[in-house]
Amino acid sequence: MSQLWNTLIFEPMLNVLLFLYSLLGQNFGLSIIVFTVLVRVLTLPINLKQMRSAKASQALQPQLQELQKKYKNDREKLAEEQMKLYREAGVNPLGCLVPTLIQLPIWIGLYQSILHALGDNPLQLFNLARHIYLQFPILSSLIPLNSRFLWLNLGRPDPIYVLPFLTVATMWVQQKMMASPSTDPQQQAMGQTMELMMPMMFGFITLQAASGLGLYFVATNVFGIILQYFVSGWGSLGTLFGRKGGEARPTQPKGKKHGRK
Amino acid sequence: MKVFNAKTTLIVLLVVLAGVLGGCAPAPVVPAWSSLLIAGDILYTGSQVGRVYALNATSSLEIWQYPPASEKAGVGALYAAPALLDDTFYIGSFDNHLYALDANTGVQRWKFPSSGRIIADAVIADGTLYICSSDHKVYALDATTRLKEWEFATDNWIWGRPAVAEGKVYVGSFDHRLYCLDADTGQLQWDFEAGGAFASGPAVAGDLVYCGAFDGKVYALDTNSGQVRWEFKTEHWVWARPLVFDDTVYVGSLDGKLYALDAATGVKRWDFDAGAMIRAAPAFADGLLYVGTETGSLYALDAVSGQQKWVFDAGQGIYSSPVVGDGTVYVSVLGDTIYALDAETGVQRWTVTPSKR
Repeated sequence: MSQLWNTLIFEPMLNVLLFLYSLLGQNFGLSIIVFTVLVRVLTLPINLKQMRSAKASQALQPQLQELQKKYKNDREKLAEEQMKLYREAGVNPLGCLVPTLIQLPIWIGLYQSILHALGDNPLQLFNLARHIYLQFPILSSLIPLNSRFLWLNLGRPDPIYVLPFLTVATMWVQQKMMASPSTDPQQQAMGQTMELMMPMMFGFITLQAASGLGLYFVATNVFGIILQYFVSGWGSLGTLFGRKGGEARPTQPKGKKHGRK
Repeated sequence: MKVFNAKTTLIVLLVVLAGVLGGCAPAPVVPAWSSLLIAGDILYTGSQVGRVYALNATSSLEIWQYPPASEKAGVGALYAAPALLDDTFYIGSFDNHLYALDANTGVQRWKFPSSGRIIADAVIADGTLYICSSDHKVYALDATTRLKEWEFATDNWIWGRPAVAEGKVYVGSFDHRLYCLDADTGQLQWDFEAGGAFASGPAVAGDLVYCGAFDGKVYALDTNSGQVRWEFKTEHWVWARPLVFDDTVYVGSLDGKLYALDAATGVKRWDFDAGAMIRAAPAFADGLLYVGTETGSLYALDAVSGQQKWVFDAGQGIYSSPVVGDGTVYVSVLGDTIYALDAETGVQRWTVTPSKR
């Protein structure tokens, strides 16, 4: 199992990062950012599908509310009817899990890659030797990598806590933009908890982990914010600033078809 | 199925992720391989918990430890092999210091601070102590007065022990260069750039200096000019210091092979496939070579033919060189366990983990 993980996830990621490092002027921070963009572009179809599915589920809110009223004493029937409604509307209620599930191995693989690539003690470097692609001699010639990026040593946590803050802030913004308004108080409360919990949890991870991982979180969140903006506008974030959700985008010239669906 | 069930699942996943990544945070004890020194009937070793131990080489009983057992914390992890001059014992540490201890009692005499982790073995020659550090520098100290004679800065870490011969000091650096310095002044005589980092130290014999690099090559350079006399390519990084004996260079590679090369021409005489990475230099005694692998096998080979005499499975990775004394070969494995084996047969005489006694 561990061999399979190394061959399919960890080693390709590690060596792609090393390739990017050699192409980008031996700057590991830039390598992580470009790597993030590549990952987000590769997973774009899944992300777009999920965003559109979330938007469609927003449209179902009035019907869901009706169902809740109708079957408030029969939870089994309620669940059955909800599923039926989702099915008929072509919405997958678990859709939000798919991008996260896809990103989980990327996060773990990236963290492993950063720790291995930026190893500054002999055992870490020895472990790197097990996973580097020897058929590309240029990769071995890059060792040891320069771990400095701006004020950061990418192999260690951010000493001035800027990255944890940025991780929390960008993730919160993204969560707010993604949030679908719910009429169910229970779901609303759960949604609000999620909007706070997820950024805090990732902030906590960034606080302790190698700052290279934090850089990935911030870069991927910024990419996500831009993507979300083009799919659904500012979402709930707009209402926080006195705008209706989805209205924040600049006006398009008349007659030109919008990219948004 | 309700939507919040999916969200609950997501929260659980994230908590698991936080655990996985949080758990990967650096541990307080840096895993390290420790190295050995045998002097008379005393075996000296460092440890990953930052303690130095002096053991009776015959019985494995502890003679002293530094810091003393009454002190709970050790110094930084100790990768380096100890060095001995008269009754003073020197060892570099991960906490950036080189410690000088009384070799008989383990009492600290003094310590030398550098600005980086000290992983390289210290070397003493002609009354001068040479210390290499991850702060990119090599320091020369008068071993008696402790006064710094000179220092020389390279462009990256120095993890390999320097070699000193004929008034010259040879130092390999992670900046891909091997430097030849004047031993008295630290003035650069020449340098040589390879296609990869030099993580190990060089070895000198006659008018050639030998060193392996992360470009997979073993280089033989002219000691006067730094010109390449020959080079030999292996299939992986060379992290082991070459061992030169008679007219043969013995060098291990992370490709899992120990190579015997003609010292003058670099032509391969034989190789031995150990099947696992070889990180450290072999030891030589009475016509036999002893070499360890990352999977914990210690091989005894005939130095002339490369034929295997015996193998001992220690079960844990061997990353440092074995030492041989009085018919016994000693080897330290990851986790600081030491094995004493009959050098002729490989039969175990004793084993001990000093830090867990």
